[in-house]
Amino acid sequence: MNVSAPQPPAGTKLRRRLLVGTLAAALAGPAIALMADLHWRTGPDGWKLAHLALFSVLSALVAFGCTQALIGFAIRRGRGDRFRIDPTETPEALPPGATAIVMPIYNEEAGRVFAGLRAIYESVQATDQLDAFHFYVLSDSTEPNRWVDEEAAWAALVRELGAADRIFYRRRRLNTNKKAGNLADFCRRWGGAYRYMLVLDADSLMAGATITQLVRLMEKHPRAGIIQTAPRLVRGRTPFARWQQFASRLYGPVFQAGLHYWQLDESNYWGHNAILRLAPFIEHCSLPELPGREPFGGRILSHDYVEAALLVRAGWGVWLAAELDGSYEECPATLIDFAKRDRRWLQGNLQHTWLLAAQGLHPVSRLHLLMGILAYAASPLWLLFLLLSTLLLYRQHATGLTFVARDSLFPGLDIDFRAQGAALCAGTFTLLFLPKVLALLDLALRRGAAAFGGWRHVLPGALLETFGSALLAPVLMLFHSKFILWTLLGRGVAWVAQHRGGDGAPDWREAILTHAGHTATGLVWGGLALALDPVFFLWLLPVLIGPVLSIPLSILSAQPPAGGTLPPLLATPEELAPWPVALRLEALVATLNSGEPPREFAADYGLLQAVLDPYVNAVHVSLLREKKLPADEDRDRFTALREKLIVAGPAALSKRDKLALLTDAHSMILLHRDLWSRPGWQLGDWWRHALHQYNYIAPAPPTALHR
Amino acid sequence: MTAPLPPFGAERASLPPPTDPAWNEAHERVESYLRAHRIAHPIVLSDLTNGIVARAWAGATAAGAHDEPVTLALREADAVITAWFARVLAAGRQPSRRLGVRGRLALALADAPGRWPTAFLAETPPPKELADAMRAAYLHAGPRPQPIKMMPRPMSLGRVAAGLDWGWELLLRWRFVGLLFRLVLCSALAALLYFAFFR
Repeated sequence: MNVSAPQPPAGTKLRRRLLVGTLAAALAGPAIALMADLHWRTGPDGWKLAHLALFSVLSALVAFGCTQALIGFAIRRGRGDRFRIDPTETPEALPPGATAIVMPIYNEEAGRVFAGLRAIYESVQATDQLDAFHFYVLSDSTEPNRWVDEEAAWAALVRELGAADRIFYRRRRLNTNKKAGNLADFCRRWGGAYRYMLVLDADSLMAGATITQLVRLMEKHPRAGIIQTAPRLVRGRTPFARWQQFASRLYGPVFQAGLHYWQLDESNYWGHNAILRLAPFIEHCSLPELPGREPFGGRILSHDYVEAALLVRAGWGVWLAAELDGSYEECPATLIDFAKRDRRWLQGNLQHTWLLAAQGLHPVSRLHLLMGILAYAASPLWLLFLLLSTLLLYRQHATGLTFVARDSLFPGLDIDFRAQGAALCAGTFTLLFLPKVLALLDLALRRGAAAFGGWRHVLPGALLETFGSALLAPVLMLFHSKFILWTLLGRGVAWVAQHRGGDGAPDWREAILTHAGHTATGLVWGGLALALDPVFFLWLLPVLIGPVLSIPLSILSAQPPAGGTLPPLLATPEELAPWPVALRLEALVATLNSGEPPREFAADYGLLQAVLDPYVNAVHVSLLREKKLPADEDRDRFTALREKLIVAGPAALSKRDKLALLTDAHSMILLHRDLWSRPGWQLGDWWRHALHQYNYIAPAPPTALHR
Repeated sequence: MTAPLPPFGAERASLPPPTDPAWNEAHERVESYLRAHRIAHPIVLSDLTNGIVARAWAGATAAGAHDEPVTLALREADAVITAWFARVLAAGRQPSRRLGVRGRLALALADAPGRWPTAFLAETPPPKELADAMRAAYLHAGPRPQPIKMMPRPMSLGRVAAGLDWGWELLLRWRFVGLLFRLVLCSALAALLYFAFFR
């Protein structure tokens, strides 16, 4: 086995980080100096100082990103980073039963979840290393339909694969501490039985070869606590999703190489598509509670960054295996879904503010936490910067005076305001677009354009992506600013399952309601800017177009392709030449489209199946915990609930009541018996119609067990 | 020479009168219930349904039962199915409710309706492969748990965080302080706007 990545010496880490810091400062410094000089020459005041401070923070962030791209580009010119952890040859057999592949899920579409798991299982099987793995689906689902679908889909999967002793399904009754709690619950029950835990998301996909390589890497590097892969975005159907896919695939490798250059073994964990060493994870990564209450305090929502920081604090390595292929995830299909996900992540990242000064954390871990916060906090900072720019102009106009320029801060810098402004603009644009240019150059030097469909598709695609990003960025800025304000005002964020895949296009009503504020903001702001100064309006125009057009932009970018064929523009290598595991997933997903429940039963189809279908009922009941005899009070309550359900139908019950019945094995057995054995006149209309599904006129109704 | 055919309608002799709507509903319900077990062959389905309804009818006639025909027929169906499960699974004295669940689960996991479409509820002994597959079929939420402790380690968040925490608690505990804080915040914002636009 020829694996690189010896332990990086402390001196190397320090040198690399100094280089990154210096380069970022060298890139941001001139722009900040120019802005400072501009304010100095026009007469400094408190407003301009605040404006400069905001500009400095924003420039530093952009410069930091640009630095990573520059370094990543340079690294990829040679043989790559000599400290990278990616394997080149891996022939050893794996330790049997040492790795648990876990997939925490929460109200996701069961068909897609189990199709993905099946594709992964079969891919691992194809490596002849299946004995090394157990698979766990860890459900926190709270929707009755989802829950029942998951159970039935799991039973069908283990039946079809003969894998009842290898693929497990566990649902928690209470989803305490959300995803982090879900994983911690797994660790407490079964973590002692495994050496490694490979964490997947509900939409993750990984090739068997990639998974086995990760285990081998952990075996080879006993101080590695986490190895994170860089998952590629796949399965996007809408323009929005494909545009994200394309950007991430085209620009990602250069950035990731740069990221790895300075992070080395103090990298970050993104919560999925990563392998963890369980013993240190269990010992060090049980998360503390933060001071205060939700949404700002309480339980840690974005657990991954913190877990990486805790492992690094304990002396374990956290690596990014950026060049390991065969690791995938999906992207939200629409702008609105994307914003919903961001809202959840944003709240989690803001919580990390508490941890910035926590004792014992490695400085690099603090930087990860800070960058995570700034990923969202940069939006209100940018908004404030733009508002302050407008205010400065307004204040200047209000005086009715013209500028009387002072001498420059820098002797020898003798240019007029217009030239200085143009230089500032050029500098900012360079920092923003240089990474994209470097990524294209990298593609050219590596002769990789063919994998994207050739230059005739790459270049227009990059242009389209750049144009789209320019439209999208101000909309996201407004979204994030609002989310942060709401979080600060104490409005919590629900853990909403996002709608992924190509069919989640928003309707006009949803788009109008969501983006009306953005459109109004753009129009009012644009009007004010025009009234103040037409030249300023033109400067501001690129930022305003996105919000003004956000409603049609949101709709158009959410439409799946007409006729189902994806256009060649924005194609990625994963789309044009998918790995077998991805092809298998597509084939499995294609079989799911049959078997939609009848519309009149759709709202409670899970309950219907769990009560009426003899097999789904058996699967469901067999997974419920056996209870001792319930107290009289409980018994009476369940009897009343059952009677209400039978006579008045599911609509008469609250979700809580339905879940209570679904959780009670005794009730589920009795409901199955009573509904089948009562004459029609003793049943509610809903159940009478439901029973007709099974009579000889109609075809047998679909369940996840039998499609 | 061929054997003489049985008289037409002879098999209906033991069934309830076809004009009784309640027993027709019972017949339909039993058939639906068996269909829900994915019995696909119409002849098998029809035979089993008729057999169960005939037994329920005979029992009701003999005992003078006053229960609804649907209830009687489904009770009979349940008894027949449970007896078959007991035979196949060699379940001994397992309570019938749980045996029903266990049997249905085994049927589903062994894909019995798909692989042995005529074996379910047949009088003849079940094929050995079917019995073996059903006996082996079981679902586990996971292997036997090996509980271990996973306790959060103490983490000091630093003096700044401790100070903020103290202030936060103060705001939450003392409504007056919270109100004052909001008042100061709003005043500051108003002052900021005043200075921005009027000074």
